[in-house]
Amino acid sequence: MLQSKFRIQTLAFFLTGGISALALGADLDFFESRIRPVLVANCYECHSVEAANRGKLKGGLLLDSRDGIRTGGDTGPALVPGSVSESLLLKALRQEDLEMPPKGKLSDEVIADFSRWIEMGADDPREHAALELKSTAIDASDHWAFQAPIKPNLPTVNNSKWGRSGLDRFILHQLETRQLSPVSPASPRVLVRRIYFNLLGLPPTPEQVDEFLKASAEDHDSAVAKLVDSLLESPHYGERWGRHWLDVARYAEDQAHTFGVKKRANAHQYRDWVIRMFNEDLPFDEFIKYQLAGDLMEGESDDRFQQFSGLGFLGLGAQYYKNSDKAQAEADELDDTIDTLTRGFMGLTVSCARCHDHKFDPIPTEDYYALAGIFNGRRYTEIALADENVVKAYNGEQKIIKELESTHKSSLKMIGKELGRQKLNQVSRYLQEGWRMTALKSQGVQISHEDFAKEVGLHPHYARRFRDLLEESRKGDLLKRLPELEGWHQVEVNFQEKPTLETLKVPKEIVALADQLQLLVDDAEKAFSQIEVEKAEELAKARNAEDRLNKVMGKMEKDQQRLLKNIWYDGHAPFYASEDDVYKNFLNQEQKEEADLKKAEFEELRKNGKPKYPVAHAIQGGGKAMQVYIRGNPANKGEWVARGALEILGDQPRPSDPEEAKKYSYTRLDLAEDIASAKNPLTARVIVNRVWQWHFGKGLVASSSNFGLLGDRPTHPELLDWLTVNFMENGWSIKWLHREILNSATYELSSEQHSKNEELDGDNVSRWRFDRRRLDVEAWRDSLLAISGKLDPAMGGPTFDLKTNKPRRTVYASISRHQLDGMLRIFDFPDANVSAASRTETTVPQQQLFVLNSDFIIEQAKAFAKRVSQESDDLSGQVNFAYGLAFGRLPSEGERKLAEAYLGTEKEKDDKLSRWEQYCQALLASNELMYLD
Amino acid sequence: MTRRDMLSRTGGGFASLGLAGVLADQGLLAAESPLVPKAPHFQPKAKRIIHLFMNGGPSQVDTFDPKPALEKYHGQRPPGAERKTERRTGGLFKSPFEFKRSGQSGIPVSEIFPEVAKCIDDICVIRSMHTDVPNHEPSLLMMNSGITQPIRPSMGSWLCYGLGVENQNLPGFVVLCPGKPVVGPQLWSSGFLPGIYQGCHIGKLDPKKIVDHINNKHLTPQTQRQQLDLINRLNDLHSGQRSGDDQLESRIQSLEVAFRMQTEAPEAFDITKETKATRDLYGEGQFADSCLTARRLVERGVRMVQVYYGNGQPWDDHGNIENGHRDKGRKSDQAIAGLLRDLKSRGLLDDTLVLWGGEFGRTPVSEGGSGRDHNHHGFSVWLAGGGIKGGMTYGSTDEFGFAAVENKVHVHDLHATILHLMGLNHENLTYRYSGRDFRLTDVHGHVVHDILA
Repeated sequence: MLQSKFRIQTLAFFLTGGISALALGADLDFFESRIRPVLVANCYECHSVEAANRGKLKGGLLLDSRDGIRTGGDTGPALVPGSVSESLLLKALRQEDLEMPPKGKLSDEVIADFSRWIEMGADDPREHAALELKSTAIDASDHWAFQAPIKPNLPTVNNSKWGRSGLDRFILHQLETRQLSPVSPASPRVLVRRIYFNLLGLPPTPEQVDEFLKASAEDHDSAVAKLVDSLLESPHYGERWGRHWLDVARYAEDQAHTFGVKKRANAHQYRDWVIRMFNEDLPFDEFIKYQLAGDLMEGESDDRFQQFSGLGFLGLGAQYYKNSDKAQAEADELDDTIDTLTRGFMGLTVSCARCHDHKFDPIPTEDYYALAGIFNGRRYTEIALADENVVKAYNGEQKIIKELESTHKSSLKMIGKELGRQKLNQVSRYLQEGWRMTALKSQGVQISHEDFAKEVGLHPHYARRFRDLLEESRKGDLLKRLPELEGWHQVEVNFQEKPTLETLKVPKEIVALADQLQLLVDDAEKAFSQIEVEKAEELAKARNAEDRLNKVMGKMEKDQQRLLKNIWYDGHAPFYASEDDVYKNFLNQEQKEEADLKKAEFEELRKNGKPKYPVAHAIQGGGKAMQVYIRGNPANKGEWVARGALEILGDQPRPSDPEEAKKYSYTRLDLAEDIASAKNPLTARVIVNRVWQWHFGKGLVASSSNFGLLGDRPTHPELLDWLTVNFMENGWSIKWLHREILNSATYELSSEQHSKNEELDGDNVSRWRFDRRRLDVEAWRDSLLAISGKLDPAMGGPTFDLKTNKPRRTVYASISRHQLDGMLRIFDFPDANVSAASRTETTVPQQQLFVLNSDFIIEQAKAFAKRVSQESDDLSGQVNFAYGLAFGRLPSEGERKLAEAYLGTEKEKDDKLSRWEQYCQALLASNELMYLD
Repeated sequence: MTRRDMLSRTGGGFASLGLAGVLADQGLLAAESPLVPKAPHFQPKAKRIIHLFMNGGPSQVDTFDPKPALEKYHGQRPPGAERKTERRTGGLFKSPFEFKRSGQSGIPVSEIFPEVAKCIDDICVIRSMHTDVPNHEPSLLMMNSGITQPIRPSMGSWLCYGLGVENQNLPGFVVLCPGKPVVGPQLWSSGFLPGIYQGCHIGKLDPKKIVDHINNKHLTPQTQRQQLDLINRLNDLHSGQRSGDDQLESRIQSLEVAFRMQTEAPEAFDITKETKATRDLYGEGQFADSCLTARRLVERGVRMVQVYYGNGQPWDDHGNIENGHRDKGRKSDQAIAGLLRDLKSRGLLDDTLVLWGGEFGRTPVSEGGSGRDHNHHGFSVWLAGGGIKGGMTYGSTDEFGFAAVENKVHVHDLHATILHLMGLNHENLTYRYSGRDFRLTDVHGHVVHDILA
């Protein structure tokens, strides 16, 4: 029996006793007069049994008993008798680490009292008897979702005429029990539209409607079955149903924050994979495994796209800004993974257990870290989807490009090094002139470094660098690098009048410092040359000229090495010239042209070479067991936790010994197999329920990503189990499930009113009708394109920006976590930073502004009008055609009259749309095009 | 009275009344609309808020928290001046600005804010603010959404969610920011709250561009009215066969409201409608115009207006703080004081909360000799109006102004206090998502009662 697994020990505290007489000691008076009143007044509000009972206990710390104060809370014992320095309580009062009380520091006298009390041994009369620990447990042993589903018998019903399938029997049974009756079926015309939108997210063409009506008149049930079969074979099916899954997978191409994050150029591979797997009806358990561990599944598939692209589920996860608090950011990234996979696959809100045991479900905080450990330390990576040869060829070419580039750069760099070296005998001169430049500048004499250099015969490049080196504001850097110049900035000159280039003399102290440095540099240069000669043999083995110089430098005596580096060799040194500097300041025209040619060689290759092969975004590494982060704080680590499945799902307990816990192996593949298992009571139920929700608008379990104790109960538990077991028996086939649902009488119900049902079950919990509902933004936008005739049926590939109004299906639009497209946002597309169980539905004027004024709708209205005008010459035929395209039916008499009246009027001079265009926009803007019966 | 009768009768008074109020009174706004005004948890002191956001992080020791000890220790790095911030810093650096005691309260204000100084008796300066990290992105997010990661709703979105929207012709949360601040859209994101609570970002104060698709470029207003009547007739025929469906009815209403927004919303942004005297009060420039627009918006029932000082992170004076801060003071001082005075003279300051401040402060130690680095240990913000005790300072930093020490106020506490003033208990303003009840203040936040009037 698994009963014990469903219990989590949580602690509650009950006040039972008073003060023990035994505790009365010599220092009791001190406690009673100086300590207790302060604790009562300032601490008990958040740190007492009373607070705990109110649910207001903070930090797990009780200060209203001796046990409590000595045991401490989440951060350890609050006090250690006799040791002030080890007592967190005192640190908190002194506001050193923690800051307590939060309302402000207590007076120094009070803090001194506490310090004295602790030193004296912290006598505390509030005895152990004051508290009794009593345990309560979350007893989830009979929670429905943790029981394995068992296929129930079909219930009995009175009305044997209604219903076509087992599914219908369950629905009818409940309706009859509740004195409800199913409404009449939807007309075939309504039904065909419903099925098209439902499976493809597109309206049927007038021809498709007619075809179905004809077939339905002959044999309705087989017409439906045939239609369903044929639409399930349409590639557009995957576009529709793949998108449903992408909501759960929080699919997006970028990251929420600004700095240092690039759009993942191959994100669409994951999207296309999901679409293809739906089209191919990959068994859903396999679908899960590929997404969690495609890279670890051996020999499953020789199609790299199939095997690796699903890893985008993990590989397109959150990346947060790590500049300020890296550990926290990494913990938040792990949380994104845990949250998405536990809610997405199992309908469990495991993230709630990140900071404390789950408050409602039997998920201890160790479970969270057992799962997190599976991913801890992982890196986002890319896996090539192309053939090995393609990858090799590309990488080979990239290597050549890199080599050409680096040869080019290093030859320029070496010129810079050589030029600088030749100047080393002029250190003193440049220093002195540098001093003059800074002095002139400080006295407000305007002269550019070019002019100055020209006047005194220096190279302007080095002159500028010496001037910058000697700026007063960079004094710190200068002295750190060239301590020989200590005193440089202390040399003061009294200027009687504004100096000029001609009159300004270099003070003798400066001359002395400069000359002295020159001597040292000369010595260092000599040493450098000597090494070049003495070690010539060894140096000949250097990879290239730069490597050779580096090697010589490495052999220098430390002080001389520092000197040369800081005057010549390093990037900040004044006699340094970078590749760019060399090119701009030192090459003549001919040399420049030569350099340009070399550069063009690799740039040309880079531009016109082989394109980068496609990759899957994935993760690698990970699997470092974790310690519990107490209260979710990465800086506050608790027990080691072995990697593993949730306690309620695992067959054997995880090892608890820290050393064993660290070593215990449980991989992503293990996790994937435990999730995608028929033994897991949640997984199959969760996806069956989602599919139901995507067909009917709401799930049998309304909280489709939360099957825990706080989630909704299934409205039809037996039906859910019956479908679930059948689903698994039928190879976890989503298409099987579609057929089961779509061929039912329940699915076929009309969306009409029924006053008696309405009264008893206004929310249609028992499914006595089909709920009319708004199309989601993808189906709505795509159907406008379909009606206007502009829809581009191309599948897959890189994303497009919706603002360009490209007529591609909305599923191919780029989805941003940083800034979601405005149209998607106002039409309730979910935030792609988190897994979405369902879409919120709002009706707000901003949506209607899009309908009235956007360029997109105007384009479609124009195209629609043009299409209609080409179809027929007479108005009546045109209106009929328009209605057929938009609504799959003919206009009513009233609608025909409205059309005639509107189209019979001339357009105003200032209107930029014809009457027909205006009219077509009105049809596109209508409720009938936005709500599905 | 039918819906359409009512709509045609109430035409003129929309802007100030707010259509929601009218419709709600008539029982005509669908109750489930996410935009209906909702009752607060308790009687609010403030009904709306203007956040003057000095993005980049103004220096507390150069604005509202003078520290004479900086003179004494100028150039030195005594104990207490060695806290870690983002970059390498040098010795203490005295403020290049004079402070003058102002108003009845005698609170010292830097010379860069001479006009704001005159309003100091309406202002409560919190000198003991602190936040988590010394980097822009996380701190901007913390100030706006109460968390350092970019995935949660912003305060303006929470307020719209908690209190609804007063004026259906205008967004409930407007962000006036020329260009785009660092981080950008996540700062006014609605996160997992419904998208309609997202802040409406307006980069350029062009009345025609204030809401997406507000402008009809194709039809005259008369023709568009005709077209909308046609849509309404079609929808009525459609609804006629589907009686009693609220969602169809609310979309019909929503179309009417959208139609009216086209004229009503741009009007709210049209500051040329203001008198010369009023415009003079605010002075000239982008920031002044934004402040004036903010007043027009809150006057019309917008719940929260955020006025960013500027594009990027303008207060981020790592170098030459003297010129930088003086210049930004010059460009904002009159407008801020003008806003306070204007709100006061219209009786709006009583129930409009004004918040001034950045995402963090700056170090009292120098960066590169003339600038200051980011500082999350301590900084100042101020509040005025709606329920705030004026003419007081609250809390304090250490002797150098580096870290908050007395009566510390974390950003969570500031949020809790703002929600409190708006009539919301920050612990009860929750949204169930992903199995959890989320809050703006997460598990933190204490209302700072001492600054409440």
